Amino acid sequence: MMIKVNKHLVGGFDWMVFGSACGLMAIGFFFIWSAASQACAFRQLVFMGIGFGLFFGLLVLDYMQIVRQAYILYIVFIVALIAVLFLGGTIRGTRRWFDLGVVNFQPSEFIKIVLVLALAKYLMYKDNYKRFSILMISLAFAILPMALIFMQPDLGTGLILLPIFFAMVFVTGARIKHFLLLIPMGFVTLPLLWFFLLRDYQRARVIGFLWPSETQDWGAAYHRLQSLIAIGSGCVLGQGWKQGVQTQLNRLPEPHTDFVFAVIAEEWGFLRTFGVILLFLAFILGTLGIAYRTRDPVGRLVLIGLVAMFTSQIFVNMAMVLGVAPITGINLPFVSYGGSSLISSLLALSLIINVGIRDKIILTRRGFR
Amino acid sequence: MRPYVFVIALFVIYLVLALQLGRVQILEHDKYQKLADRQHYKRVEIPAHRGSILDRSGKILAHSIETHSIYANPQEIEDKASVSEKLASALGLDVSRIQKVLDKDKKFVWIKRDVGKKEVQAVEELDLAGVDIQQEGRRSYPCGKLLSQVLGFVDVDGKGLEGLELAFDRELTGRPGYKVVNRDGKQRVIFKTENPCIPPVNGDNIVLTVDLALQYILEEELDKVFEHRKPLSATAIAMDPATGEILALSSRPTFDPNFFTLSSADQRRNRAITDSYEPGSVIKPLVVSGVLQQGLISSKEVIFCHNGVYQIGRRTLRDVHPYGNLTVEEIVVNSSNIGMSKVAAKSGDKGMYEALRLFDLGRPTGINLPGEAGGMLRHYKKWTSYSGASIAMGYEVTATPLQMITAYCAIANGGTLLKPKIITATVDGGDGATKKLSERAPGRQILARDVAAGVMTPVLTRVVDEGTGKSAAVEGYKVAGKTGTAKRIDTTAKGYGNAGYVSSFIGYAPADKPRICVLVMVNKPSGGAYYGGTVAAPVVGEILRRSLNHMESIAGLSDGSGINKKTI
Repeated sequence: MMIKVNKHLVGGFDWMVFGSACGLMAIGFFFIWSAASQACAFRQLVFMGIGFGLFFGLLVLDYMQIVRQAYILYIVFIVALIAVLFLGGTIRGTRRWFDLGVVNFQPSEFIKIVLVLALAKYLMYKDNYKRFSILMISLAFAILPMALIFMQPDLGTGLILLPIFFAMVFVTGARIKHFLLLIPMGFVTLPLLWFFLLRDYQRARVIGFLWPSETQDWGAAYHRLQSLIAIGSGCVLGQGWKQGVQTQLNRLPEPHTDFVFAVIAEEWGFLRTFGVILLFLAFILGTLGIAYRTRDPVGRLVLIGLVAMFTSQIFVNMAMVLGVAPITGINLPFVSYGGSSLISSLLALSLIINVGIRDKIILTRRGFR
Repeated sequence: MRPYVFVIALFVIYLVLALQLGRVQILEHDKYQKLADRQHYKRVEIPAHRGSILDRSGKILAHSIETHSIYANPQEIEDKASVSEKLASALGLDVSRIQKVLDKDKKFVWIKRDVGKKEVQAVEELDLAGVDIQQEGRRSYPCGKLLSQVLGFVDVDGKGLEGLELAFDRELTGRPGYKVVNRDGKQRVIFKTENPCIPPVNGDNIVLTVDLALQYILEEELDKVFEHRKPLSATAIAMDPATGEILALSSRPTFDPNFFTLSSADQRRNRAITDSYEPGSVIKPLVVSGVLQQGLISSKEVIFCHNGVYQIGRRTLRDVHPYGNLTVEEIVVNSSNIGMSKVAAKSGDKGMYEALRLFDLGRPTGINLPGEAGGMLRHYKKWTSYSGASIAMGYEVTATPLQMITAYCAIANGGTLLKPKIITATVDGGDGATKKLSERAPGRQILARDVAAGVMTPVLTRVVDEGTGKSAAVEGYKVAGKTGTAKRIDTTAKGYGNAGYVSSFIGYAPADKPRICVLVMVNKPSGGAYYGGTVAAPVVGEILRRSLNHMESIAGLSDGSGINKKTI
């Protein structure tokens, strides 16, 4: 497949962002192999193939064209989220995905990007961004898919939508006091969330994390300990690829998806795992670099949303694996096994690169930096 | 300004993650490594194969068959109800029973011992966490009841409880090895070859002096007399007089060690070594040879036997047949009580005591079997004025059947008292090296050849040829022996009332070059007959005949004296 790309576009291609993402995917490939199987790793390779196809396909379009269709995409994925509640396949009592044969299509993985695009489209036309009503409507954009994801139920992925909202309205320049107003609102909704949306096992996990001695959920406490044992026995240099006792004896829950970071830590040790953290930092800083360089506020807004999305996912996943956050089903972008997650990450990467190569001058209102 | 807040927040987030990573991986490494080792490695014992017990030619009397048992760690089982159900259907057990066992607050419980291959396979296929299969040895005694009281038996854990299994438990058990296995998240055991593994040292095999064929003959004859005379108990021993090796040994009633739980203590008792009896007249040759050895009397000395009735103090002694003058030899041949009492009087208490001490009466023989009794021979200073006469007739003194036959073997072999042996060798379970158990004391010459072979054996031969022991005679062989008919102590009446008799016979053949000595003791035969010559002597005769025939046919020996070589 040949794609006509002019030299101007290639010049803006951010190799640091692209390279660090590719590095992370390569690491993911090998540790999926170690934690699960060679077959599993090669399936991930197939997902990468599909993902890169979409990655380059999307680069042909100007990201502005995509942003313009954001509302339609938003509606399509809201419908998908509703449909999945009724038609989706079931894994351990949750309905999250459609079976598409080669890959399980999980709408919640894509709604994150669509939310970024939709909020960018909504906020880019608003002059009166400092009004509280705008903040509330933006919040509604996030709350609707969040509620639907909670119903699957999938607490973790749903919560990722909040930081996206906060980051985007924050950089647009919303008033701090409006943010502060959200706090009492949160206190009102939190009990509602606790009693009406959370399932028993989710409540047990939160309790188990906050008050370990009170927990009734030994499963969660056990998984947390197993993860810490894996990481702790990695020490400085690690036990070697495919040599991690904890991993190879199947002590870790979901070792190739949610807990792949623990596998890396055990088999690669602190020095190289720290390198993985630096790769993530490079990826995020590279993206912020594009946001800083671009003269288009919409592109910047999109990038900020994606940075918030990736950062919160990386943080929640690593904090969970490192035993400082409750266990939620959040996986590690680019590294964890999973078709929908990897493809959505590559689509996000495509948008980041897209903003980087289509640097244009747009007259913008004051203060929208 | 706001983008910088963003960047700072980012750095803080990554710093927190990196610090936590470092803390867990480096600072707390030891703690987590310890936890990891504890859950990954488990020491599993590899049971050592319990040694076999073999007869003198290597035939198996007791051995361990590999079998499997199912056990569980209830703490590792989450859904006890469903595990119980699955196990119940796989093993054919009651669900509620398994559930009860699994509800125990223990780390190890047996589900079922000694299961078959199909059951093992069924449990393997279930692949349940916390349920495992242990290889074990089940003890089997292929000869059933044969030699059972000597062999003893083991408990379900393979620990010796009685007999040789108990006496040689340490040697038979060997030393278990162990291996370190990895346990995965589902508590399944994975063994990796690089893990440390100490192989077990298998238990030693024990080779007995017992000859299975002779044991079979002896037990068959014992069964016959037990059936015929319906006594309380009966004991028989066959010994090689030249070496002190026990060739066969058994008691009735008996049991099958394969099903020892069905037996009573009475059946399991090895009466040949645990029970002491007043021997009665069989002691007379020991007394006489002892006093002859001390030179207190001469074998040709003539003693008047008072024609069957003799008064000592307030007691009246009677002989079965009245005798006038008898030589000391003839007193033994005719088993005259009056004659013996006068021999005792002539020898004095000290002489009598020393005579029996020569044969180590009152002391255990020291055979390698548990629970041996030593009998009783009081010091002569504690004797009453009647004691000498009583002891000369085999009362006021007790001995085990083993002590008696050991003493007779000393007469048979020309005067050497040997320590009875039941074990010839042990075969090392590790390298297969055979270690001969040589007797530390080769035996003690207690009688001069002149006394033992010169006087006593001809006397004992006359007992069989012309005296009370005629029914012990074996065609083609000269048999030497002595009968005994002892009144049993009536424990309720305190004395020798109507408690019945102990009928015994000890004999050896061929008299001039004895190859086998046999004791038969029948405790309280019922149905009228009670004389040792009637009840016990024919059994000894039959055992001698069949045993000698067997030994001849095995050795291919023939002395050309026209022996009837009937097969046993």
